[in-house]
Amino acid sequence: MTTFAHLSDLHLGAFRDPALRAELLARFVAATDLILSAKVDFVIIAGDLFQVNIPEIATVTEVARQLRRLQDAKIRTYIIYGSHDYSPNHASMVDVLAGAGLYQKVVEGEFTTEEGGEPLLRLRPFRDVPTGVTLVGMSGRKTTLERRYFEHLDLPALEQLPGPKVFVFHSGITELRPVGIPESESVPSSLFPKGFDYYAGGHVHQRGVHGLHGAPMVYPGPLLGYDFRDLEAGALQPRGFYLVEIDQGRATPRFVPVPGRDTVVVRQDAEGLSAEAAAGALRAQLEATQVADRIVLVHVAGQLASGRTSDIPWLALQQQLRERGAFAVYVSRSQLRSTIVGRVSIGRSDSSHIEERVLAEYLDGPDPPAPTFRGDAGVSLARQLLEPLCAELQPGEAVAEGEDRKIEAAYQLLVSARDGAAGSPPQQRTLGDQETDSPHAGDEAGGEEE
Amino acid sequence: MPPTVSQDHSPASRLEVIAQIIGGEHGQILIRQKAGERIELGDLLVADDPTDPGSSMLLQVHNLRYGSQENDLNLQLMSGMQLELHEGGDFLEPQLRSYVLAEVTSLLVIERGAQGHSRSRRPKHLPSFFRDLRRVRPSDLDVLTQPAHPVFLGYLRSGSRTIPQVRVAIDGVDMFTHHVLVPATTGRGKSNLMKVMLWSTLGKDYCGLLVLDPHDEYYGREGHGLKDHPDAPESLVYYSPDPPRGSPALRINLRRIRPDHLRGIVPMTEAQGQAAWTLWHHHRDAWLAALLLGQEEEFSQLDIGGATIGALRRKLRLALGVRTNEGQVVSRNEVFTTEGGDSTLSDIVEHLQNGRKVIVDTSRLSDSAELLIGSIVAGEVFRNYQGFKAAGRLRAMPVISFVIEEAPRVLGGGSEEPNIFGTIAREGRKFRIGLVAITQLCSLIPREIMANLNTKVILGNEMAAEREAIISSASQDLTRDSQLIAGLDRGEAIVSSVFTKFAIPIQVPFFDELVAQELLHRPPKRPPAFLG
Ligand SMILES: Nc1ncnc2c1ncn2[C@@H]1O[C@H](COP(=O)(O)OP(=O)(O)O)[C@@H](O)[C@H]1O
Ligand SMILES: [Mg+2]
Repeated sequence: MTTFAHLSDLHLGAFRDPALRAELLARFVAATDLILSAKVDFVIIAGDLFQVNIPEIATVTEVARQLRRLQDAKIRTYIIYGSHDYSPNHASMVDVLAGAGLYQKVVEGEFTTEEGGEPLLRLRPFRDVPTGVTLVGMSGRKTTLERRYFEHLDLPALEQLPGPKVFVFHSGITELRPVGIPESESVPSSLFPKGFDYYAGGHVHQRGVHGLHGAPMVYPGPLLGYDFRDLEAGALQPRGFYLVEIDQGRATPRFVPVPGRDTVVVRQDAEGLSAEAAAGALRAQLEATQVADRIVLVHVAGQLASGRTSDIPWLALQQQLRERGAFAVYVSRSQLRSTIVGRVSIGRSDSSHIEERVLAEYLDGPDPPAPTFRGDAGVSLARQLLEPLCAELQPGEAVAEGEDRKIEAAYQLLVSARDGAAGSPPQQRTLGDQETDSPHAGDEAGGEEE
Repeated sequence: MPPTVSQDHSPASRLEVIAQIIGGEHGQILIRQKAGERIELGDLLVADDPTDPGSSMLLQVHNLRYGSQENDLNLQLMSGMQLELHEGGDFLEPQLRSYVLAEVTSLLVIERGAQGHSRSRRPKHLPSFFRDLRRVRPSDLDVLTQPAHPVFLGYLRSGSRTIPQVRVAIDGVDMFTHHVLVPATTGRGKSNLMKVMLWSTLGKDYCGLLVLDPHDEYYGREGHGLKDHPDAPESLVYYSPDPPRGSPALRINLRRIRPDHLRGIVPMTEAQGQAAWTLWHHHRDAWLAALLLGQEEEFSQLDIGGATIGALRRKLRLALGVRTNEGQVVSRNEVFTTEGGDSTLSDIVEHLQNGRKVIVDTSRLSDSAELLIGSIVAGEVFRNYQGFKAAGRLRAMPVISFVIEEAPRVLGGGSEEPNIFGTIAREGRKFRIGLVAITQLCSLIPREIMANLNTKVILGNEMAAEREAIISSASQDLTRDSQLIAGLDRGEAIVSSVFTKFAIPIQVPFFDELVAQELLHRPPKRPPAFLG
């Protein structure tokens, strides 16, 4: 029988508030303690060990120390990268720790193209020698860019691997995702290899044990998370990791809660209240709440009937909570609106008008370009071309990939212009332009106030 | 793609003449076939006007019979001499005295200006007596201009001859919003036609199409299918209980089904309907789980009788393909489940509203389950589009159409409760939503709805009652075409639409050949770089 621990989405180094950052690290230490006492054979970290590619050194030092404790106890650690902890264009700390031998990255592969066939991605299997378990990993990328790797996976090769075997990944699954996450940011279950004994997932913060191709598919969720919503979810449901036993081709996951400080959530609906009344109501609620040594989450939302959001004495309220012994305070007020909304509208038309005039002047100039660019149609085509060509890199996209995408889009425009396809160009669908890819459904994460 | 036809608009040469007008009336002109020619039923002929070089008339053959200068007794005698005495008889110039007559109807008057502009209109006059007729040339039909959003249906057909230079297409925006009917007996090529039609919509985001596919024949899981289109990766989404790689599984969470979704799909007694609503009231989106798993006492507390619950359970278990086991809902084919599948229906709606084509493999589902999925999606789209219309944003949205096999199941009048598809047939046009109704039995569809299906692609049909139903609701007068329709071979069709100037005979290409050609010109794929 083999036993391993499955963790994911640790996001170590997250939070600006040093107290929260420390709490997160403390939970990782606690998890390591539990893993050591459980005498597991190995540990799987299914992506997002760190919150960013270069975390601050204090965090790295502590994480390295914990990994070293595991190593000293002869516990192997296997890892894949996630959408946060790895950058394709910059150095990443996860690579440094792998290079130092603190864990083994279990993602390796190469594309092969057989004559006239589709490109195939062959993933390399890794074997945990003492137990004979085979691990195959697929890292996550920002905005689920890894989906295109999945699309080319050589599934039969993976399905033929002898068991016991574990597939490690960092992606949401299309059929299991809640309403609100774009389908393009998920991977359909049909792209996963069949026949694995356990599917060790990451990326999705909603903890859960599911089924995939007849075996357990598990998202452990974070130990604390990295934003308001994660913290709030942690107030309702214990956080931790899974201990998995594989016995005779049957994997049984068991949740292990990791102890940490309590979290309390205070919600104030400010809809229709004056700023003053909202502040009063909030203060009253806070005063009636046990806050000592707890993480206090404050969520204020709604449209104020009068006054500004800044009329609510945020700093004073937080100060009072700290004085009453709150361990950390995290206020989300991004859904709170003042009535007096001063909106300055800067006409976008201005810059686009200038653009058009410059182009018209140039294209009409002494050095006439290709016929496609003549006249009004030419100006319009040139402007259409600017859009893909000036597009920013998508989050997590490598420079070369971005170039490919731009050239492809521009090429498509030119081809349809040449073919005289009347009307507007087909709407380009992008993978999404969020700052970070959120593993949550729907609305944006709350703002952090100090 | 503009038709590549030769620009030959010269009048008929003597060699081309195959018949001449010799009488009749408007709608039934009588012509005489030139000896040695062979005019067939359905042939397209052209009468050029010698006095007005740009003007010609397109005619179609509806009936063939014999004509002779001799009386019957004479003819019988002549035949006797040939049969019994092996003599040629004493006819002088037999081809002058006995011949074939054809009844033709005028379809279209074509007028060409000096600059090559051409116009066409419905014929209102008779061509002059003794006017020469020739066969149609590809260049005659350049008046069939290519619309802005062509949906290719097939090549022009004259009788049983295909004229591959003339591609017949109808504008997809017009066609889909004004509903399509594809009537034919089994095996005449309805599905093949649908595949051909869908092929030309792939990669075009002006329309979203939902295809409920009870035979799992459109995607091409094995063999050729819509998946082979170069734009399929972006434009086509395929849902199946057992998806091929890359496709999402058709999985629908029971929480996504409300009692009103079942209206007109799963027939219920009044008591059952009330019970469903009572459960909804108490359990909200967990009502189905509550119904399937609940205990006797809970229902009696809600004043729902045991018999009603029993009957309702049986109906829904059957319709959804679920059973219960140890307090769990177990799904026969993992389609209707309690785990996952929360976003499937809203994903489908979103795909349609983004102009994608969605095929749902319903081959393993019950009839009711198939229609339930279709009607939930259609209802959602309908509501959304009503909203877009109110907000003045409808024009910016793609048109959406629902392709339904055995359409009388949902359009079949009768006493059933009204459902969303009936609503779409009646008023979908206002919201740019349409239906493509495929059926063997359009006689079961109420006349009022038949008349609303403004494009009919009529394939072969040997059932007179069906032909009657089609003809009596067609956009052009097809009363003389009953025999033609009966005689259509596989892939031969007549397109009768408010968007065509006449009922156009076409030959639908064989889909597999269309795809095979496409695949020849496919550039190899480049793998992305693997970053690990
Ligand atoms: N235009 C066509 N040319 C050649 N074969 C065709 C054509 N249309 C249909 N077929 C063939 O005829 C058979 C029945 O066609 P299908 O489209 O399934 O008919 P239906 O849907 O009306 O039952 C299939 O084998 C199909 O490949
Ligand atoms: Mg069929």
